Amino acid sequence: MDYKTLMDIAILAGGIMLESNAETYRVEDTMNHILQTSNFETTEALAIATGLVATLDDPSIDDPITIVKRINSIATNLSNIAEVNTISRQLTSGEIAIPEAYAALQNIKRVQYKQGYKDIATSILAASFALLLGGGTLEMVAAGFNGALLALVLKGEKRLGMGSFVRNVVSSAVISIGAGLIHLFLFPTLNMNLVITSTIMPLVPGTAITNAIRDTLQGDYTSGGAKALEAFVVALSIAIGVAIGLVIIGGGLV
Amino acid sequence: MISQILGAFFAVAAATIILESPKKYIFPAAVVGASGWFVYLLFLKAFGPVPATYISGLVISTESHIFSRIFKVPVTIFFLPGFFPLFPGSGMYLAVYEFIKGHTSLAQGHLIITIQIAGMIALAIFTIDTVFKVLKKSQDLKKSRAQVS
Repeated sequence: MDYKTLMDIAILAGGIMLESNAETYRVEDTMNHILQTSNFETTEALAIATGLVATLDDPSIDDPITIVKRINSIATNLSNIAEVNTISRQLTSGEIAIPEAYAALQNIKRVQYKQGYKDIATSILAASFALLLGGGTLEMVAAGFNGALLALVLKGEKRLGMGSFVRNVVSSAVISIGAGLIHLFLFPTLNMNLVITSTIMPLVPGTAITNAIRDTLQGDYTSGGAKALEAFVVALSIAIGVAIGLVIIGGGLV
Repeated sequence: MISQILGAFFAVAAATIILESPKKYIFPAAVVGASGWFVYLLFLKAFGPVPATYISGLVISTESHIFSRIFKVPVTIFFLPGFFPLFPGSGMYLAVYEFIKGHTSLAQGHLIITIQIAGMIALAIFTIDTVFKVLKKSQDLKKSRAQVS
C-alpha cells in the first residue's frame, strides 16, 4: 500500500475541489472516501473555507502523516468538481489504481472555456436576463451591450487585482452609469431599471448563497457562515456600486 | 411568457459557461433553469413572488437531484446555474433605487422581499435535500436488510 501517494491524492483532490468552489462537506466526504481505501485505523479529513488538513495513522506505519494545505484562490469550476468526483469514485470502487488516479488528478487542472467565450457569455447572460425579466428587443440590446462593458471592466480589474469588494463596487457603478447613458442619449424609451437589474445578475452572489445554505444545512457552520458573510458582503458592494452610479447619472431621477 | 422562458434558458446556458460547467451538462442545466422559471411565472400572479420562488425552488432542486442521479455527477452542477434566474437581483436593485430617490419605506419593502426570496430559496433547497437524504437512507437500509437475510 503506497499510503504516501494516497495521501497526496486526497490532498490534491480536496484542494482542486475547494479551489473550484465545491461545498465543504462534499470536499471532506471525498477526502474521507479516498483515505478510507487504505483501511488504516485513523483516517481524518477536515476542510474549511480557506484550507484543508488530512491525517493517516496505523500501527503498520512508523509515524502518522498529516498534511496541511492552504487554499488561496477560489473560482467556481463545475467541470473540475465533476471530474474529481468521478476519479474518486473509480478509486474507491477499485476500478483504477493509486498511480493512475494520481496521474489523472494531476492532469485535470485546466480551464474549459477561453476567457473570450466567458466574456461573450457574460454579455449573453445580461441580454437573456433582460428577456427573462420581460424586457423587449431594446432592453435586450442595451443589456447585451452593458454586459460587454461589464466583461471589459472585470478584465481590466483582473490586471490591477484590487480584491472582490472594490471590483464589485467599480463594476456595478460602471454598469449603472452605462445604462443611464444609453437611456439618456440613445433610447429615451428604454426601461433603465430592467437593464441595470439584468446586468448586475452576473455579479449577484448566487454561488455563495447556494453553497452557504447547503453547507449550513449539513451542519458545517464554519463554512456556511463564511459563505453567508461572503454573499452578504458581495450584495452590499453591488448595492454601493449601483448607488454611486445612480447618483452620478442624476440620482435615478431621469 | 414563451420569450421569458427562452430568456431563462439562454441565461442559464450562459451561466454554465461562466461557472465552467462540463459541455455535456449545459443543455440539462438550461432545461432545469428554464422549467424553474416557467413554474415561477405560472404561480407568480396567483401567489406573489415569495411563494412562487419557493415552489419554483422545489422544482429546480428536484430536477437537479434527479439529473445528478441520471448522469452520476455532483448535484451542484445543476444547482448553481439552475437557481440563477431566481436570485433576487431585481429586488436588491429596486431597494437601492428607491433609497436613492428618497422613498425609504418603499426601499425597505423591496429589501424585505429580497431577504424573503433568499430565505425561500434556502427553504426549497432544504426541503428537497432532506427528501432525497431520507430516500437514500431508506434505500441503504433496505439493501443492508437484504444482505442480512
